[in-house]
Amino acid sequence: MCYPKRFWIQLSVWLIICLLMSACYPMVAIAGSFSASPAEFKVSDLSVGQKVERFLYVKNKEDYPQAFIISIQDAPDDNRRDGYEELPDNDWIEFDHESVIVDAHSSVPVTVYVDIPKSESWMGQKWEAWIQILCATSGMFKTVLNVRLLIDTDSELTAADTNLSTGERVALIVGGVGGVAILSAVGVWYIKKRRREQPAQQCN
Amino acid sequence: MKNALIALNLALALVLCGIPVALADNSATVGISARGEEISITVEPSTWDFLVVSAGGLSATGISSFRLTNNSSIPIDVTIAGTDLRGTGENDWVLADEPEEDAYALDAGLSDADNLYDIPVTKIPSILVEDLGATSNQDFGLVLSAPTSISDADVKSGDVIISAVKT
Repeated sequence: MCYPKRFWIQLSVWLIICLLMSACYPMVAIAGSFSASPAEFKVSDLSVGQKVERFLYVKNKEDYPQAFIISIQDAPDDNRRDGYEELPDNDWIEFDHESVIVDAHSSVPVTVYVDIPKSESWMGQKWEAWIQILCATSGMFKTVLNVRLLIDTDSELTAADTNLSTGERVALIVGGVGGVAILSAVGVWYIKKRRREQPAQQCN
Repeated sequence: MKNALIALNLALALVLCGIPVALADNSATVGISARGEEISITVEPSTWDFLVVSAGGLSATGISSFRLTNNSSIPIDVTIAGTDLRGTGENDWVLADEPEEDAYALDAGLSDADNLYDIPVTKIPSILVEDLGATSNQDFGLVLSAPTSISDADVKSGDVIISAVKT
C-alpha cells in the first residue's frame, strides 16, 4: 500500500499537534502535599506551673511555597487515647507561629508551648488535644493533619514547683541556719544560767 | 614462702588464660537505623466541578473519582466534612442533611464491595476511612443533592475537608 507524500505530511502535522496538546493539557492537581512530624506528642510527668516546649515540624512536599495554619482543637470524644480526657482549656497550648509559609521542599519548626496553670486540681491528670495543621493553599479539598498531644501531669509537687528564686532559697537557708544558731545560743545560755544558780542554792 | 609461690603461680595462670580471650575478636558491628513518625496525606484531584445542577437533581462524581493516599509512616484515621457553598449571589447553599430550598446535601462513598455513597458529609467530621495503612490508598467519590429550589444561578463553591490523625 502506497500513501501519497501529502498524507505523511498531514499525519506528521496532526501528530505534532497531538503532542503539543498533551504537553499543554493541565496536569491533575493534587491537594497540597505536606507532612507533620511527629504524628503524636507525649508530654509526661509535666509539673503544673512549669512551661515546657516541644517542636513540631511542618514539611512542604510541593514544588511551590505553601501556607499553613496551626491551631489547637478539642480531641473528639470517640477518638481519644484510652484514659485521656479533653484538655480543660485550649489556651494552655500556644505556638510561636499560628501560620507559616513554607518554601518548596522545605520544613519549618513550630514551637509548641504547654503551660498548665499551677493548681492542685490539675495534678495527676491525663489530657489529649489535637494540634491541627491546615494547608491554606489547597483547592476544593482542604487537607488537615491532626497531631495528637498527650499531656500527663505530675501527681506530686517537685522542688521546681515551689518556684523559688535563688535569692529566696539563699534567704531560706540563711534564715534556717540563723534560727538554729539562735535557739542553740539561747539553750546554752539557759543551761549555763541554771548551773550558776544551782551552787548558790546549795550554799543556802 | 610456699604459699607465696602458689599464689604467684595461680595469678600467672589466670593472666595467661585471659590473654587468648582478650585477643579473640568477639566484636561485631551492627548497623542500626530509625525513622521518626510522620503524618501526611494527599487527595487527587484536588478540585471537582459539578457543572450545572438542576433543582432537586443529583450529581455524582463517580465512586473512584478521588484517590486518598496515606503517605505517612503510620496507619491513620481519616474524616470528611463539608462547608456551605458560597457564590456572588445573595443566597448561599447551606450544607444540610437533606436538600431543601437553597440547601444542598453531600454524601461520600468508598470504592469498595458495595460502591454506595453511604457516608453523609456534614459540617461535623464523619469517618471516611479507619486504620488506613501506611503508604496505602483509598478511592472515593461524592454525590451532590442539589437544593429543591434555587434562588439564583450564580456559580457557588465550597470546601471538602479531609482530616487525618494517627490511628
